[in-house]
Amino acid sequence: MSGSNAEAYREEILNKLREAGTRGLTKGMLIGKSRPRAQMLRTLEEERKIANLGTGRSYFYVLKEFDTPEKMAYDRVEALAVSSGNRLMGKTAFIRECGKGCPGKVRNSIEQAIRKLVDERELMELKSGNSLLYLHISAVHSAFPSLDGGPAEKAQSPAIPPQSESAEKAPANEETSASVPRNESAEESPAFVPRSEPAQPDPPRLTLEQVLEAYQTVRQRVGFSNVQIYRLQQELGAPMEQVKEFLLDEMEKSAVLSMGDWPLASEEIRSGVIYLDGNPYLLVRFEE
Amino acid sequence: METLPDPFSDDIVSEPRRIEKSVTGLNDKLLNNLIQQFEKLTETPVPRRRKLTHAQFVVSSQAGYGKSHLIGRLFHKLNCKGTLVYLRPFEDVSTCWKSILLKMVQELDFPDNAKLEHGSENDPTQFETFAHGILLHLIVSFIRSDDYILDNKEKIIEALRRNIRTPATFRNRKELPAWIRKNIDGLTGEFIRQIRYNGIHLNASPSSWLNGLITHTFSSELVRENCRDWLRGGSIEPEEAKQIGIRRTDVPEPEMPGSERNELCKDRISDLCQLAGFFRPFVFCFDQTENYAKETTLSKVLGSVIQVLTDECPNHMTVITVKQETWENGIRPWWDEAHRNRLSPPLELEGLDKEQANELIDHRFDGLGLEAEKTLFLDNGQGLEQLFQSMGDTPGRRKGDIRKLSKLGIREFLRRCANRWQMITGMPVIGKPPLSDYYKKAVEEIKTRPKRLVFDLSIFQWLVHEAAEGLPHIEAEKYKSPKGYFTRLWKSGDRKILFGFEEGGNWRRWEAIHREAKIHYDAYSKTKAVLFRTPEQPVIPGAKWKIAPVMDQAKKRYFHIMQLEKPELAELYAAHDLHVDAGEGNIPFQRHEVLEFIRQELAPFWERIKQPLIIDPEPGPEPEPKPKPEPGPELEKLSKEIQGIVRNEKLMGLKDLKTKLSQPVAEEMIREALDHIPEIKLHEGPKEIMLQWQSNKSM
Repeated sequence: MSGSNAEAYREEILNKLREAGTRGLTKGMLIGKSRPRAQMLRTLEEERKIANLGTGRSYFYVLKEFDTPEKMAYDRVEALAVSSGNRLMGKTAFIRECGKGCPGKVRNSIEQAIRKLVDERELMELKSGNSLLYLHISAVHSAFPSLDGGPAEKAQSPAIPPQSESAEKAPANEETSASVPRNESAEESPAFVPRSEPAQPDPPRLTLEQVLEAYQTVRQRVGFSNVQIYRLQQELGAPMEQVKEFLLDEMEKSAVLSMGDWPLASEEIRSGVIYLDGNPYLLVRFEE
Repeated sequence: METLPDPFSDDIVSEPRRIEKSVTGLNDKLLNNLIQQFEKLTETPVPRRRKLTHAQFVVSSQAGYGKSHLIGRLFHKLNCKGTLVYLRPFEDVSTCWKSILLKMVQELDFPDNAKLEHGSENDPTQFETFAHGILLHLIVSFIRSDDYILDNKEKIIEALRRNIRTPATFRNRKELPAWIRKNIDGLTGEFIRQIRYNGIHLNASPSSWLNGLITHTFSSELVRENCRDWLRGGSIEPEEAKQIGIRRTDVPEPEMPGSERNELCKDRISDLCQLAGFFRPFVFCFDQTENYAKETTLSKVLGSVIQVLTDECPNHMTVITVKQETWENGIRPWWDEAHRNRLSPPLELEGLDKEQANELIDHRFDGLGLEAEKTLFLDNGQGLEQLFQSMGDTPGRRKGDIRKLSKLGIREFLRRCANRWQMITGMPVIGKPPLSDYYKKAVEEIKTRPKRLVFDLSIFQWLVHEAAEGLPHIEAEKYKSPKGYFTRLWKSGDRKILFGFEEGGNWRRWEAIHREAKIHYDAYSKTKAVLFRTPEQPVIPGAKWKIAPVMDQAKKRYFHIMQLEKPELAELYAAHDLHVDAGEGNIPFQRHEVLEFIRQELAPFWERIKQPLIIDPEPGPEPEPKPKPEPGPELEKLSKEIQGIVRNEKLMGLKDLKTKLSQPVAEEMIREALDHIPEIKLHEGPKEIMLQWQSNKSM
């Protein structure tokens, strides 16, 4: 490949991807069967100018700046959840629907994206028997105009008194609607699938034994004694705020927080951040 | 107001041989673990061929936990027990081994005493000690062998060991070179016997290595430099090789392509490790590894380098330090399982507890004469308590709660101390210093480390590629010329600038490089080639080189040999250090901010590169050639004779012409005469200069 041709191929590939933006392009759409272009594609990938969001033998390229499979998955889940209106979606079907047409890495991030939206209380996770069902919070806003929080509602309705501090901090419980703001009207609403258990006012306190057990499991898995707070929370299955509270209390004794590397951390890892003096700490280690 | 020194301002270790006293117990377990691993290499008597199963994998959870400091401590602990090599990151995968070997040879030039950064003449370098250790072992083994007839061998050996115990006494023993020369066959035989018996494999012949070590020990600096050239995988002249005793087959071809040269450098490293079995092991420390995470290929190649060192090179311990997140996100994903398997379980650095922090404060105040301020700083223990407190803010929860901490990273602790120091001394609180301050500090620091102001392949590669990538009107890219002498290219408008990186001083190699530059220039006249030279390197072209006149002419048109002096070198290297520091999280700036700054700060350097060597001839008329001085009668006579011969032959070699002249004439004289014969055109071939008669050029 001569220098000038290489340069032309480079520009061509980058221009196509620039135009495609987050939509990206498959390998075939991008370079056809041209070998020199394929070589340039590899070079650009090695230079980290572009990224392949495909997995296995599928190739789906985007510019490096759009190499955000987690964010794409998040947007995709949110869009589908919003467009589904008040239709409750079973977990498996929902994941399948969200993943349709997505490149591999985005598809692989769908479950995490659902979890994140649930944690952020944008998506409601409801349990019906053994099934998990999902509903976007916007459907609740439109179904129950008295519920506070919806932007349209805020504009149209007279101000509604804010929820009490305790209600705002109400625990997210796996067994119940983990992300639903605790509200009587919501609980009584026929639009909700009945819970298998009544809501708990507070989640059970985390014990050191529980946390250490989860910590050791994560530690074994990642191979380091400094583990991401996010991963610890995932292992514990407890609400993030509760985990953070626990760690803050434990800092004087056996928990040592480390900053890790914020610029390199993914969105999920960042969700476990604890700020000390305004600095972000992402890792925790328990002293033996 | 009197300005007090800030005991806490220095929080980055940039040179492992220059570290402060460590605090009791901090990361001792980890350090002892490394030492235990190293000691495994020396458990058996020499010659050894021991390999460690893994590279030692040191991990920190964030920047400022003391990775480089740990390497410094390791160097101090292994002082005079290992040959210590600190490896800053390589920047180009195609020259990875070349970069490592170059660094290795530069590190071998450091004093053997790891506590010294610059030694005096009496302080042997690591390489002198390495050569001395191997030679002493061989001399003793040879005397003990049946091949050497002598009474009271053990007594003599004991006396010998006593009298030539150090490299200096060894070198100054006047009778020794003659004795070695007399017994060189026996010594070589003993060396080969031990190599074979112990299953040691050397890529270059044992006699070349042995003679190289002997010559380096007993010769003048000039000859030693040739030895080092050969050691670096460079080419040397046949006469020079003969003088050293290196076999012809072990001298690399001057025109060796870049990829082969890289392989040769790998072989040299392997050989040095094999030879270390006759003395003491090497310690290779790969630090600043965040730099590899910036490019997939760099990460991948680092993995294969670690694998090759672990699998193929005995008698060494590799230590690799890395930040946990960098490893997980920037390096590990690009390493094959085979690469990852070469790493030990992570050895994790820890933070300071209060007791250790107290000791560190003592160290920092030691000798400053600030007792009253120290008392105020500590405030009966309250100061330390406050330093180990934080305001814990998690969104939506108990904002502003005071939290006590059990441990802190060293740099974080020093930062807190610096803040407290400003507060109690009433010093004005200075916000984040500008990047230019960090840069100035880096420049000043490098100036105090003359051992660093030598040719650094990786930094030059980085400067003309990554650092230059955002310069206005410059497109910087990787490139591979046919022979591989030029590996970077700038396009600036209609001009092209090629970059080559050659650290050696062999005229044949430079001739080949020049030839490739000329091919590019002939194909496109707006091309020039740039090659950097640093103060410790010989000037190119050498005064006695026969190609010097041609090269001097080329230097005026397309062959830009950029001679850099130490102050400029300090600025360039400081720029790189700053970029690495940003990647490591050692300074509060991102890499891209540093790059933007560097592009402006180094404007004169970029301009120097961009400037054409001559004004492009196309727009204006060609400058008038200077009239040649009239030849003297002798030269005129010679010119006429040459004219007659070449006219008859039409095409002939310069060597052939010499034989046909009526009397012997020096080549310089012939060249001078040729300057006055426009009908004869010179063709500088790889092996021969050809002369062609062109009748249409007759005056």
